[in-house]
Amino acid sequence: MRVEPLLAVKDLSLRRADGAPVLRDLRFEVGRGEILGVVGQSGSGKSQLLLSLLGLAMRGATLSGSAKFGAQELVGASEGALRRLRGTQIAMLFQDPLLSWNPYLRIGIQLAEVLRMRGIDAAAARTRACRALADVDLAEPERVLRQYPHELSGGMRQRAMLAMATLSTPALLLADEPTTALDPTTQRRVLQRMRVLREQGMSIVLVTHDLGVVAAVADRVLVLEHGVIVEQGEAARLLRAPAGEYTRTLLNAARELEGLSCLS
Amino acid sequence: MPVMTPAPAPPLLEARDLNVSVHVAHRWGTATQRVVLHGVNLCVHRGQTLAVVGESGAGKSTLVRALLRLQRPAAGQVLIDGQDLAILSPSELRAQRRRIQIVFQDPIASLNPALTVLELVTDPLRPGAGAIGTALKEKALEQLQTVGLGAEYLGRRAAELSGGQAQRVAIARALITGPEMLICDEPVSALDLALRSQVLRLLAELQRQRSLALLLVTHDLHAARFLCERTLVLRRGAVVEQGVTTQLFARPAADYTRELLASMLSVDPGGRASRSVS
Amino acid sequence: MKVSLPRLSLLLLAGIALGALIVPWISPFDYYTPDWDHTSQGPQWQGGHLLGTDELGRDLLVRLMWGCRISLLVALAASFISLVIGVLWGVVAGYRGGRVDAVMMRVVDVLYSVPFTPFVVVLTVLFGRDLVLLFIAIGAVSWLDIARVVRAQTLGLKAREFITAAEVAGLPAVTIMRRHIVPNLIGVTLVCLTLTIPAIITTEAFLSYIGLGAQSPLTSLGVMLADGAAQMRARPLLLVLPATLLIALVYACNRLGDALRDRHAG
Repeated sequence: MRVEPLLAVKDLSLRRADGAPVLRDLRFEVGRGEILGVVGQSGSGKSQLLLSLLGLAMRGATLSGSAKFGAQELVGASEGALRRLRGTQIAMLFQDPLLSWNPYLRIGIQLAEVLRMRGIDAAAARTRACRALADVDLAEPERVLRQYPHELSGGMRQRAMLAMATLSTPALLLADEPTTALDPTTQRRVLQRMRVLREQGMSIVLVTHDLGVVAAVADRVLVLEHGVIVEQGEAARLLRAPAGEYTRTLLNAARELEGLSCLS
Repeated sequence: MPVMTPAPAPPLLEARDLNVSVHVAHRWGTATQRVVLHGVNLCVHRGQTLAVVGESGAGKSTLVRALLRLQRPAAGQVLIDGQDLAILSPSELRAQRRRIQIVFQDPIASLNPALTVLELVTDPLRPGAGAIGTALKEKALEQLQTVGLGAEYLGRRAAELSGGQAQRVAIARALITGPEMLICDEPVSALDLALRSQVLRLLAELQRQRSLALLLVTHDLHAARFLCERTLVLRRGAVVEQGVTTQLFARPAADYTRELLASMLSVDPGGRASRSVS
Repeated sequence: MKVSLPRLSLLLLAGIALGALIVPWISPFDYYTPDWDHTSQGPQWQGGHLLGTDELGRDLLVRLMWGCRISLLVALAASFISLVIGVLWGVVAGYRGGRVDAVMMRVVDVLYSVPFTPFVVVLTVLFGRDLVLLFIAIGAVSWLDIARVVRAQTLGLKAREFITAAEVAGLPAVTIMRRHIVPNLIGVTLVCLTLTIPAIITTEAFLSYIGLGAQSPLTSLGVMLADGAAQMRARPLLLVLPATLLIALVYACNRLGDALRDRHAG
C-alpha cells in the first residue's frame, strides 16, 4: 500500500514576465517525515522553486503544472487559501533575514504572533517561544526575546528564524539555504535540530548549494540545473554513485575542496 | 604546500592586546558599547600565512576593519612593520595601508557599479583625476592575466560579471599596487561550489609567486588548512588558541577548536558527516 | 511610439521649449515695441497677431514665448546652481561625517528657516529688481533640499564595500567622493532635480506676480499672469493663456519626475 506523499509536484513550470523559463516540468514528491535536499548552483532556480510553492514567485511570473499539498492544489490557489497555509501548515525559512523579520518589533513579539494567530494566549505563547529559542541552541533565550532583530548577529537571526518557522509545527518546512551564513558549530546544531524535527514527523525541503549539508541530513536529493531536475534519488546512493554528469561535477568540486586541504 | 619562511623581526602586521567595541544604538538615543574583541594578539610576518577561524558574527569582520584601521580600537595597538598606526597622519596612514590590501566576501558589492573593469582594477593607482594612460592599461591587463581574465573584460561593469569573475577582478585590483600582504575575508563563501577551488588555488599560487603575507578570515576549515601554515581560533571575540595549522587540527588543545573540527561536514558517507550530526 | 503620459509630458515640454526658442526668433514682432494702432486686439489669423495684442499693442504670442524663455531660463539656471552647491555640500557632509557633517547640516537647517519671500524682498530693496538677483535668490534656497537628499544617499553609499575597498587602496577622500560616490548618486539627484524644477518655475512665477521678478518690458509667465489678472474682466485671454502654459510646464515636469523616479526605484 502506497502512503500518500505530503507534497506531490507534477510538471511544475515557472516562466518569468518576459517569457524566459525559470523552472521546467519539475516532478517530485516529498513524503511525510522526510528531508528532501534540493541542490543547485546560483541560477538553477532553487530559491524560486520554494517561493512558487507558496505563491511568492517574482512579480509577473507565470506558474503552471500541479503541486498538491495533501488535498490542496497550490498552483493557482487563491491568495486567501495560500495565506491560510503559510506559517501554519507550510512554513518558509528565507535566506534573506530581512524578509522574515520586522525591524521595528522585538523578537519575542514576532514569535508570539505566530501562536497568537492560532488563539493561544499571551503567557503560553511566550513560554513556547522561549522554549523554541532554546531548542535552536540560542543562549539566554529570555534575553533574546526582548531584543530587536538588528541586535542579533546574523547566525543568531537565522537560528531564531528557524525557531519561528517551526513554532507553529507546520507539516512542511521550506528552508532556503538555512545554514549558509553560519559557522560550522552553529550549522551542526541547526542540522541536528532539523533531524529532531524530522523524527517528530515534519517534512523539510532543504535548498542548499552545499553537498556536505545534504550528506549530513537529507534522505532524498534533487539536483537542479538551469531549472531542470537532472537527477533525483536517495541521498546515500546519489552521493556514492551519481548517475548524472552534472551531479558528478558538483560532487567532484566538493571533494576537491575537501581534498585540497589534504594536499598540504 | 604554503611556503614556510623563517620569521625576521618585526612582523609585517601585528595586533597587540586589541580591544574593539561597536556602537549599539538603542531607542531614545541611549547607546551602549558592545565589546567585540578582547585582548587579541596576533602577528603575521612577511610571507607568512595565517587563518583566523571561528564563529561568524561581528568578531572576524571587526578584526579586519581594526587591522586596517578603518575602525579605531578601544584599547591596544595595531602595528605595521613595528610602527603604531595610531600615531600616523592621515597621509602616512594611507601610504601604509597600500601595503596591505583586502579581498571581500561579496565580490559584486566590493566593486563600484558605475565603473568598468579597467577603471576598477586601476583605481588604487589613480589618486587624482585624469584619463587612464597606456602604461596603466598595460598594467591592468597584466594583472587581469595573472587572475586568468582576458582583455575582453576591460569594458565590462560589475553587473555583467559572474561571482567568480567579479572576485578575480577584486583580486586583480588588490594586487595591482604590489602589496606585501593580502587580507581575505571569506573570499569564496559567496561563490558557487564549482568555482571555489579555482579561486583558492589562484590565491595559493599568487601567495607563492609573490611571497605575499596572507591573512585568511574564514569559517571554512578546509580552506584554512589549504592556504595557511598557521591558524588562530577566535571565539566570542577572544583568541582561544593559535598555532601551526596541521598541529592545531591534529591535536587541538581547546574544547572549542575540537568542536569546530568535529563540525566539519563531508560528502563522503562514513566520513565526518554521519559522525558529526548525531 | 507608445503613447503614455510621461512621453506626452516630454513632448509637451519639448514643444514649449522649442516654441520659446523659435517663435520670438522668426516672428516679425518683438516683445517690447508698443504699437499704438493695434492695441488690445483679439486673435487674428490673417493679420499676423495670431493670439492678438496686449494693451500696448505688443504681440501676445511673442510675449508669451518670451515669458516662457525667461521662466525656463531662470528654472534651468537656478537649478544648475542649486545642483552644484547641493551635491557638493551633501557629499562632503555625508562622507566626512562627525563634526563637519553636524556643522554643515546646521547651516542647512538655519537657512531652511529663513522665510523666503521677505528674504527676496530685502534683496530687492538692497539691489533693485534684477533677473540675475532672481537666479541667485532662488538658487540659494533650492540647494537645501538637494543637499539633504544627497547627504542621505552618501551615508548609505559610505557603508557599501566598494567604498571600503577604495579607502583600503589608499585613495584620498576627494578622489573617493568624486569617483565612487558622486557617480552613484546621479540617479537620485536627477530625480530630485525634476522635482526642484517645477518648484522653481512656480516660485519664479510667484515672485514675478507680486512684482519682485523680471522688470518691464522683459516678461515672464508670472508677470503676464499679473497683467492678465488686472485685465481679467475685459480680456480673459490675457490671463488664461499664461496660466495654461504655466500649468502645462509644471505638470509636464512633475510627470516626468514621477516617471524617472519609478524607473529609478525599479
